[in-house]
Amino acid sequence: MIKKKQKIENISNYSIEVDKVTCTIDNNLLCEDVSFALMPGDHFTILWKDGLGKSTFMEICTGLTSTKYQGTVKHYGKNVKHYANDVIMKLRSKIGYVFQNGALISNHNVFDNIALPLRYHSQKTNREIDNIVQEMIVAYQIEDIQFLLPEMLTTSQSKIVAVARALVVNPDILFLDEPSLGLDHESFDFIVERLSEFAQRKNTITLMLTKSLSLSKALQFPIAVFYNQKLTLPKSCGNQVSRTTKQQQQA
Amino acid sequence: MIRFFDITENAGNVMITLYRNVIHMIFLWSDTVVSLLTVLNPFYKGNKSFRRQVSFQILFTGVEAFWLIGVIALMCGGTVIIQAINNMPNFGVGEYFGKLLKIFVVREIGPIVTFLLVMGRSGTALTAYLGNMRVNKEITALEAMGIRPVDYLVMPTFVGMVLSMICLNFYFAIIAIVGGLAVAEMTIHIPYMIYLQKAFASISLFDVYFILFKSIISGMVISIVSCFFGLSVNNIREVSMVVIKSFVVSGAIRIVIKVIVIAAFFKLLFPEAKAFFG
Repeated sequence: MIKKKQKIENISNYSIEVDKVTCTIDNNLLCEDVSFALMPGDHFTILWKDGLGKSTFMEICTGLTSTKYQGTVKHYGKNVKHYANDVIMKLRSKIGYVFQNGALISNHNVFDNIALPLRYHSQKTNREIDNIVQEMIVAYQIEDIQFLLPEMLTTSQSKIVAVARALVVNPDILFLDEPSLGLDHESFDFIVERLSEFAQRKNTITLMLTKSLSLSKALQFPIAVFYNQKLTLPKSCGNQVSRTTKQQQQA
Repeated sequence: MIRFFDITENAGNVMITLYRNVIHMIFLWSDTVVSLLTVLNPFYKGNKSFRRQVSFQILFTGVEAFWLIGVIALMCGGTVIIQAINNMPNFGVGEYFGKLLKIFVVREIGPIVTFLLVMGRSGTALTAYLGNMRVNKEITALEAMGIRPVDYLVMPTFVGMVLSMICLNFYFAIIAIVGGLAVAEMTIHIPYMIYLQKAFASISLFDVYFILFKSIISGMVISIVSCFFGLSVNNIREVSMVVIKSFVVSGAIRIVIKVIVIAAFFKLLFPEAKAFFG
């Protein structure tokens, strides 16, 4: 009984919990019994090879997919499948998600793309929102492309805009799906700098799925490796993420 | 060899899919109406993109189609009026010119031609656009940001489409009568003002409500069906197929709605037919 209670108390501290997630698509096993938990202040990288269901797993972690897997994904202590639609949409207003392809809205220019989450969720006036976005654009050095449509941007520029859009809402949780794909050296350093800044903020969480060892090393987040459909935490990983995950596994 | 079981199984699958699609479309429509009521609430301060999205839709569906609809209305009106003026006196019904114009052009040809043009031009484009958005994960990106696609994409489209259809239908009716008579005047030299007076004298407030009702129904059908099929795309190969499907299905739904409305309110809608049905 005590163990059970302790377990519940432990789990309630976690913002994201992935518990024994097994995912099979078209008879292909993508992942098996993947478990980890992240609490505020945790930043976590999973090294995952291309073409093995990285984006699908990320969608599972964010709760965007609720049918393709067995196991449990909890956000703030509650199974994402049990949240009402309105509640989960509100929760997502404090979540940033950088997609592998940027996923910028194709008929909005760069400015409108960055302003999009603020215009939908924020109680601020349009003028205030425009000022915030303008500051963001200056900080990200994309003034010259702010009125271009996504189709006119290079891959690096799309990625930078996608990161800016994810961070404009000051998210508590940041999901990064292959953020360094197609970046040139300058943009790579720039994005690493921005992500490091985000990680230094108090009580934030980052979950990054990537195949890039150089990005993982540059960001210096704890690294787990996905291999043979299983997630393995290396012995050298003596940080908070591994501790919390091990605690959860023990519990 | 085709077995009897295959035929029944396929027919059953088609019926199940049809039933499921109709139910989903009704849910999408109800979600859209709820979303619209939420935005219209004066105390609601979210979704500031609503007006921008609606303006964009009106620009695309209404304003950009003005020339096309105008030319088609002119041709339809001109043809019907020239034929009517030439042939009606032969049957001894020349004095019903105004009524014919009202029933044929204003009530029937106008709404159906506008519906077909808007569906073919804007509805299919909307389906393809949403389908591509789905394939490029833009819809998933919206959901990841906590933005409901119904609020951000479907509802503004719905409002914009209904408003555009209302404007285009009235525009079509006016151009068809005024422009059509002008065409007739130029080709067969009719007394323009007399015929114009006849045509407008026969149009009542009831006809205005009639066009309004048809426009709203057409706008709703086009927007909901196009969005439904656009959002149901799973991969890039399906985009072209759902575009055709949305065109056909929206036409079919409009006909079904029309038949239901006519069957239910026949005597109210056509008081002229009282003589036949007692």
